[in-house]
Amino acid sequence: MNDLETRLRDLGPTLDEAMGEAPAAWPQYPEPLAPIRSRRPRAMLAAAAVGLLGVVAAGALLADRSDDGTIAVTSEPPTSAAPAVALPVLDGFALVLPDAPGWTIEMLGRYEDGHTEVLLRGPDGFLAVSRFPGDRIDEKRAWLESEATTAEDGEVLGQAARIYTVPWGPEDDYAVFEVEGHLIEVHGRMDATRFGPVLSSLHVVDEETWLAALEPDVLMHPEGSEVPSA
Amino acid sequence: LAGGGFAPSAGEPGQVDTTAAFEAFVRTHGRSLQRAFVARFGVEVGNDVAAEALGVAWERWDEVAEMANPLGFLYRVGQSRSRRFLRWGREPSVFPGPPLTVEAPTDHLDLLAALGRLREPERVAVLLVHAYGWSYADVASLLDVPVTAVNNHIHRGMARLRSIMEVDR
Repeated sequence: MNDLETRLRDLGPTLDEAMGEAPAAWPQYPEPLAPIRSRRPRAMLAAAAVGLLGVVAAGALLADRSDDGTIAVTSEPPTSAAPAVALPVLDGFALVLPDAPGWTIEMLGRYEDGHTEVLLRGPDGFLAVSRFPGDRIDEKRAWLESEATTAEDGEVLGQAARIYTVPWGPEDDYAVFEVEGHLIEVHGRMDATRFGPVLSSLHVVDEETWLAALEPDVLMHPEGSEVPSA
Repeated sequence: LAGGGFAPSAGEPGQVDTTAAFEAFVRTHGRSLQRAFVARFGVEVGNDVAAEALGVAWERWDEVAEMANPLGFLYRVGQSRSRRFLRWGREPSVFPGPPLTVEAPTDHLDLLAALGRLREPERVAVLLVHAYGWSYADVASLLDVPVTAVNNHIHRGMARLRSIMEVDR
């Protein structure tokens, strides 16, 4: 067992402690199969269920584990996306990269909700470039406007864009703009001071350059199963 | 983890045995479900979603008790019900979420932050397998995906974790 696996194993009790609130009392159900939410406010239901979970935590610790205490390991490697199928996944999505060394394409996919995403990794962090269908533009914009701590106008890839900082974590920044009825979102997970320069350096590249940036083991997201397999 | 068999046997009084069967189900599977949702949504939303899913289990206990894979069913229920707890359909609450964001032991903070950067299926698979000792088959049953897909999630998740933590050092 390596160090990361050991640390993950040690993390389990910490998560359990955080999620387990001691129950005040075992919930009393009014009658069998009653629609419980119609009789109890959701908060009470949540407290009751969390309470149940707290009571059984110790027993469940044992119940969760495999009978032989081992972790099964299968030998199949992840599915790699050969360049021949990488481009069809994008379905015409612009081929863009930061104009800086060290950026590679780590993952790409087309999802059931209709959006396409390319995940890049570089020396500054991660960058996800996504394209959303037109019917989600208003929803997405409204959400960003309500959640962002800062919002300002800017320019990305020669397009007028709106640039947001969203306080989920210390490193989330977004830039969105519309192209041909789609919403293009550039989501950065990197030091905030680096997002602007990386955003400014984004540029459209030719297929050869883009394919050269594919990591050898670049993967399709599992939800991208509608695309041809490699 | 899979398998129901919690329905009361025929001929026994309904209310007491149904309640007892449900409570037995919660004792056996409740914590597992909670862990899965916390891995998926973080502590705050994950707890709410777990409670919501167990509420559905109670409402539909006659069906759930007979299911071969009740956890898989309730996980899917929880995912669909989670929308009410999320601010944006595609962006779940930040993992790990409060209270771990501020109260976690300092030696876990970097790992929690790195886990928060994983894609959700990767994080669920990595945490359930490596933090809680689930088998790949158990995770596959929960997520209703082939074991090979779980293998992919684990492989990718662990590789990304190592990469993120190396970058952050």
